[in-house]
Amino acid sequence: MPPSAESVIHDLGYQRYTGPRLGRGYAVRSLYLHSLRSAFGLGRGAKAKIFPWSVAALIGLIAVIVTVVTSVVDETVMTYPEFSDQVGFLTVLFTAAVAAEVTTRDLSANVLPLYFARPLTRTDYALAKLAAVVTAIVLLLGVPQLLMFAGTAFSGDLSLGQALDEVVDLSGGLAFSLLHALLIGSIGVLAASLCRRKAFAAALVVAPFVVTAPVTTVLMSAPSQTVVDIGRLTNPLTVLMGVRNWLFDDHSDIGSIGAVCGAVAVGLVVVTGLATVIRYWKVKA
Amino acid sequence: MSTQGTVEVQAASRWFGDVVAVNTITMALGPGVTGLLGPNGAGKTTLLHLLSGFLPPSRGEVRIGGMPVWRNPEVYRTLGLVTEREAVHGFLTGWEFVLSAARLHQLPRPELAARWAIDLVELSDAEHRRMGTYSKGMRQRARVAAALVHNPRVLLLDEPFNGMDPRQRIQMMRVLHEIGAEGRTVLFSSHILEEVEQLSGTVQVMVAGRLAASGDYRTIRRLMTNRPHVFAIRSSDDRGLATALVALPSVRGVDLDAAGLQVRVGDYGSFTRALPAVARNTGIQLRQLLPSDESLESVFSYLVAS
Amino acid sequence: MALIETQSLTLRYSPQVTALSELTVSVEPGIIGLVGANGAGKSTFIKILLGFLPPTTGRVAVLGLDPVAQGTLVRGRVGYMPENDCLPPDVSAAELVTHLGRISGLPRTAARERASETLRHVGLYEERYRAVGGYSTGMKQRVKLAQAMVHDPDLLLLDEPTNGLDPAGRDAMLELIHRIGTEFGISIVVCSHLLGEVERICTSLVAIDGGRLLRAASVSAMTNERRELAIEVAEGVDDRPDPTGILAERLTAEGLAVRREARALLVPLERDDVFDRILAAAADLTIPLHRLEQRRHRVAELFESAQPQTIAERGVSSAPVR
Repeated sequence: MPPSAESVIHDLGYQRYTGPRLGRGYAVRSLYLHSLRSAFGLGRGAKAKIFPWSVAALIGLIAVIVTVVTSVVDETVMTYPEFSDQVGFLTVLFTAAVAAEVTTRDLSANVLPLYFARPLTRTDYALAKLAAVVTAIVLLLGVPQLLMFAGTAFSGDLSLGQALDEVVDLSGGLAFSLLHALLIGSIGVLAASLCRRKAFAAALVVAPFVVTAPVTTVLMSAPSQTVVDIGRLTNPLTVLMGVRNWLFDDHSDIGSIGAVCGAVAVGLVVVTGLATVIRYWKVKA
Repeated sequence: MSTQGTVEVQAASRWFGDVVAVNTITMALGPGVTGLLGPNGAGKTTLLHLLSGFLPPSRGEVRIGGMPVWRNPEVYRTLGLVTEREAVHGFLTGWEFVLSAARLHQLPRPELAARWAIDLVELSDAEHRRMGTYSKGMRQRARVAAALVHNPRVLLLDEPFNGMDPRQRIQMMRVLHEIGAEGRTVLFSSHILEEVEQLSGTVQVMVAGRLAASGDYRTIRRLMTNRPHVFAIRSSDDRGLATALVALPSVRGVDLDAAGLQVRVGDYGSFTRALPAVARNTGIQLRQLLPSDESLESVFSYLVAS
Repeated sequence: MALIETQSLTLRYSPQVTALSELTVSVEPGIIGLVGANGAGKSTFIKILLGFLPPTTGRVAVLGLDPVAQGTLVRGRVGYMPENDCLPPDVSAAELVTHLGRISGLPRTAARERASETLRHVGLYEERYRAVGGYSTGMKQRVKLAQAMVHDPDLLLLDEPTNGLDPAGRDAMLELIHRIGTEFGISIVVCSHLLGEVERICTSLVAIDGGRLLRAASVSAMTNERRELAIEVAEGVDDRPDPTGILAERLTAEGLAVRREARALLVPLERDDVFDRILAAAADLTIPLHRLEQRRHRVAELFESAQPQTIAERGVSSAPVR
């Protein structure tokens, strides 16, 4: 034993915490990040990763195929906004799984009191969950579009001007994906939060998109333009298509209904968001 | 000759695959209140299921009033049951609930029986309110009333005080005490030893499927001769008394601290006889003599540990 | 500064349902037992302390702060252990407590470290890496306690912490709570139905009955000594049929007022020499003594009605004949 060493019994008793306490913003961010991670099954074992990553891979594959076809055929097969609309149903399935995961775990195990007894309001909780699902969908749709962009822009065939145009198109596509994420995500979280059982919650998420689909199809194939317009507004996915036609599409002449779709989309996002917050204020904890 | 209210378990075992929940238990219960104790997983609920005829013993016999319990609907004339968790129909009033139990037992005068049972558990004030509005204690009492409505000689209860507040608990203990005092055989399982202590000193203790001890817990304590009894003593001169006590052959050891004297006693009988004389002869005033480990809690922990 | 202070605190869920009525109490740091009827009173009180419900009228302050106006501040310094099941089954204790530590504002590394320390203090060792769903009731209660303490609160609110525990588990939990309250220096409010527990570990008590304050006092004030001695004779030791009776006779003959209650003899402690007289009598008659104790009041007396009636006294007829 070196001569300077002393024998000592270390104090393993309770230590008070004197470090920083980071407050509400940090708490909300932590919850948001935790929910986002669990949406993709990170930190939760292999089984939880299968579904979200399969859907993501599928959508990525579609993006790759589109990119390859575009370069072979040498014309734009699918614009970025079109991409989001085309994979709309996959997005809905993804959202069903993710929203159910992110909401029902806390609801069914009754964990909410542990959150609400912390420096985090019920509003914060609801918004963090909403933000996590929206972010997950943005990633789901955005990363493949980035792949598409990389495939096209760096293929060596584009002039600088064309590349810049591509960047503008991409930005439009990403913005539209954000609208997708906001609308589908907030409907999804609201629906999932109404049910404590994961499977039923996922079904509730898919319902607003699937249940109306037959009605929408019928209405939109009617001869009368008014009926078609009304039909467009009955399903969130067709509303989004209407917005795309209004904002991005040069070919379709959608008229004023496009603007109405835009208003409806934004309105729905706000209403469902508020309803989710109210839902979490009402839940017993 | 077994009377109507005798509960007899004869070398009964019950296993589920490899799990032996109840292992060769022999016990006899007579009139009065008995507590069934044991750590979680000791087999108490399984034993209650055997006694109530919900399960047959894998081996051995379970009899009430001399009749086997399993597949014997007759035995339910003598037996009343209050299980741990049971949803009650919230839309029924207390009166309706107990009355329906009386009718299910095909009693000749169900209204009279229901009246008697409800008065017994002190629920008459609330009997015409829906049970959905009842507090936990009131619901529990309603269930006891329904279990008693046919005047069974034997009453089995699984954790009857669970979730009750102090007043409800005192009330329920009173009811059980009086039922027991009237000569019925009452067996209730509980984790809350202070209740068992207050209600009745008679216990059946299960550990890992076996019956570890039966009888009055104070007597059980005295039977544990391998464990020295511990007494806490305060006097006018603790150290002087300690010195005198160490001289006694029945005393194994003495601990002295600010709170007084702790004496470990090997021979309970001779120590308790000798103590007053020692106090008198030394002129030390004895102000407190407390057996430290005769509480049900201590007895129970000794039984579980050994 | 008082730990918790209320003034005429009233909470009405609706015009007909009043949960708390004119509650005025000032609670000093320590381990406080919150006892009383099931339902409205106690849980409503806890919800108000956490800022979940605003009072209908009256004032409340927790650690000097208003739980409604300064809710996030209050909840940052308070830890809550709910009564019911609230743990997600597929997460390990370490993960859960770390996560909740971060939600309480601890930076990532600190949250991890404090989670680890807290789990050690509550007695969870290698189990902490297993999913909570497989835990026993006792272990789950410990996890609930750990998540309440991870952020080093100044006040812990424990709702029925020994719920569902067997005697050994209950004992261990009470020991733990006692240690936390005394050694760790954290004040604790313990909601409990078991007055024996409350007497054992609490320094003071708040009893709520029907939404009103029944009593707020220190436990020592409520369990102070009575002027009465209880004497028990050792059983199964003496050959005489009724040694207790023999002792009673002698003491009565000496002019002491002796009452018999179950196994014990009760003698009023009028003068100090009563001790000597009892001992002298016991020594003289060679009566083996099992217990000599000055009786104390019990917290349970708060809830006992003055004259409990037997069945016969209440006029209940005898059981119907079949």
